[in-house]
Amino acid sequence: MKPIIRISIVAILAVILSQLAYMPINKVVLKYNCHSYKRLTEIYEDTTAYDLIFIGSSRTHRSIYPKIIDSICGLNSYNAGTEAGTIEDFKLTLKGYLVHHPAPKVVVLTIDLPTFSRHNEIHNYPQYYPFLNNPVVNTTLSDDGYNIGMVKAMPFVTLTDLDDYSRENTLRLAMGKGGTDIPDGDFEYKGFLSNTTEYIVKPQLEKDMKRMVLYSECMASLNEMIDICKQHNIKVIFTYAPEYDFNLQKTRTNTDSVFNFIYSTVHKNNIPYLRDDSLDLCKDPRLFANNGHLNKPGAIVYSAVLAEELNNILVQKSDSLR
Amino acid sequence: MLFNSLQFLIFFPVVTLIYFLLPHRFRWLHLLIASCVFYMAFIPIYILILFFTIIIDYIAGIMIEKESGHRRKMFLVASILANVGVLAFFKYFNFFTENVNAFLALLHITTHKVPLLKIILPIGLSFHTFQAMSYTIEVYRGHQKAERHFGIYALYVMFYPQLVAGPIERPQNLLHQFKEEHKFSSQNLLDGLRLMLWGFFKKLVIADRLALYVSIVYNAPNDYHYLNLVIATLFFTVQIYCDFSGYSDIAIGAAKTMGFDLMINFNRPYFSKNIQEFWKKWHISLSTWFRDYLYISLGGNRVGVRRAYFNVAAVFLVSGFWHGANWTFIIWGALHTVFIMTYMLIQQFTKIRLPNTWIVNILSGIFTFCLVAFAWIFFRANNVSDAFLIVKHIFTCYHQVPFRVTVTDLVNQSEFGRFSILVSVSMSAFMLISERRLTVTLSNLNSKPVRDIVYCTCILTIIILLGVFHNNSFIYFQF
Repeated sequence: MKPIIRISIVAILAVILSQLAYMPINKVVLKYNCHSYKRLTEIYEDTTAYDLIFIGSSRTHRSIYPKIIDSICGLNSYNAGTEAGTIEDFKLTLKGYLVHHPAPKVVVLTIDLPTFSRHNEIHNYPQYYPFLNNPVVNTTLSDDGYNIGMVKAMPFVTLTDLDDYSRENTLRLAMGKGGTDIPDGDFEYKGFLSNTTEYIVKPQLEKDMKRMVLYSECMASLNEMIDICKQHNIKVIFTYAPEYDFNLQKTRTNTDSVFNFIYSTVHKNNIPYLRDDSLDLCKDPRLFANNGHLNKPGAIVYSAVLAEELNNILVQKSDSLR
Repeated sequence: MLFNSLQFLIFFPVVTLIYFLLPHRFRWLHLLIASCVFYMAFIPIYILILFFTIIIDYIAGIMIEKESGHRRKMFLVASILANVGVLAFFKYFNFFTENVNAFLALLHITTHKVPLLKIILPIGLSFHTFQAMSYTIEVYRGHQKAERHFGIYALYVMFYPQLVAGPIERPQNLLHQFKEEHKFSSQNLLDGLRLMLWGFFKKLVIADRLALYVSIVYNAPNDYHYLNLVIATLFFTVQIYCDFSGYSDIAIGAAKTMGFDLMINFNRPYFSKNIQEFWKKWHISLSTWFRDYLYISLGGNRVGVRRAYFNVAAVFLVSGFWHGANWTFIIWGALHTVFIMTYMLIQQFTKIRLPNTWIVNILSGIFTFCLVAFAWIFFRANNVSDAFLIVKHIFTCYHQVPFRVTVTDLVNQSEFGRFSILVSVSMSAFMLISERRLTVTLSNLNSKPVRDIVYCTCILTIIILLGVFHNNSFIYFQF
């Protein structure tokens, strides 16, 4: 047998086997990631009109309960926060959302200290593979150097993006032993995912100090987001999500530069900025799962506070700076 | 360019295909350009350092051959000084500076701090420097004619499969191969690809998976239960073998597809029955380099007994220092010095000869494995204090639960869970068992197409389904 034939047979067989394995594995992966998949489908494929969307990282995703916001503000809101999201994720969320949905009236953007510290980096990019039909997702991933063409032509290559944690969860679920990405005892609601009832028993600071960097590309991304909102006549509100007793800020350096940039941006663009790190609830360890994330009761308490703050801004039209 | 990158997946077939399409007289140029592209994928400007040593060694080789007597030696020394100088500057300058500063601080002299250099070590510097040095030494010894073709000589130093992590070739083995016309051979192609596939399996499925666990534990050893430290050390023992021998397999395989034969670098070292045997089977190209150019130059074992022991110690200490500018590597080298000298002393001064029975072989194999694994603690630890802490915690069974993370905690909480353990252990066992007969199996597969197809398809599918594709660099690239 000629070597080229032998090599071709091996390659073709491996591709067929991998593709055969991919189909059931992908099915279980999506089943496991039911919350994430449903949330991204809502953002990148569905067409439901929302009055208000929340964009941010896990500190948005796990902290803002739209049911409370809707009931207090009388709006139809959606939590589009992304776990470990960077400014690139935020921009992708906003632009991708606008492809199929009508523009919302308000976008509430939660900016964290490390929001500008990572550029050209989409967090957990494989989660976006099922949404490559959304032109914004497609372009963003292509521009960031991901091999979209290869993923489309040979879907099984996405298996190489799975880590062992996902593989284990997939295997457990396939064997009927595992749960999903909604942990037992937690619930989801319009993009929000509750964050256990565990709370801080013994407050501790992180071991290492982390320097917050401001990349010019990230700052430009924020300005681009503001411009997009202006074009679509969307009101923008910035927030800084609650943290326990300033414990995140205590272990970060160069935070002044980050806040100075945010303040200069909000002044320039007349954007309300809600610094929610000094709320009374930030002193109560029972409302926090860890220094940076509210737990389930914390999210309920905070959502009510945030809803009042938003009401003040939206009803009284007072673009106050706090 | 990393072997385990998408770029290499395109680079390798393109370079190999063009190699066979070109007439023989242009092939050296093609390979030289390809090797430059390969190297420049890391830090492009550093290619100038390579060219600097290549030019010096090329001229030195010719001059050594031309001249006689004292002047020959002068050119050899000049060449060695240039190579060692580059190595010392990039690799050891900051190490010496840090130690001088620490010494000055001990003497309470803080006003005269020597500044550190902000430089990145050129990738694979120790490897191509040693390969270049072996050329001038062999020309000096008269074992090799000086190469007049500058391009061929440059290619000898830069040949991309073994440029950044060996095997460290000898001119007698490699130089002539560039001049010979390699006709396309289906056997070479299949053998080469099979070996590359095996190398990728070891790197992507085993080494990079074990690295997850090892990194978690070794980056904060004080946080972990002693059993975690034991497991991480055993895992690192397998990881470093799969990482480095995987690289060597890919390098040898890539060269083989074009008809080049590179020297083997590993021969199942963890099946060695004693430490001496281990060093005959581990990183063979480096061990033999030290034997040929340092040990023999120092007189080998033809000098007095004490001097012979000194020579062995010198070789292992230098070998440790070659690996990295850090006290951890020096201690690693010193430990192997102690192991091997103890073994030699026992051999020399006692009449103890172990019977060649399977039980004795297994027990001595396990003992040797444990010694090697113990020494790897110093090789892998981030610093000397971490290494001693790990040793202390392992040997005192230090746990202090609940303050230290147990194996169960780690498996439940980290990215290295039960699935990772299952795959790591089963694949490592499969690898160790298969490698016993791998050479025989590989050469037999050419005449058994069905078995070959089944074997290669299985390995390739396992790599796709179970590989860890984080573009992790190879451990030995840092040297």
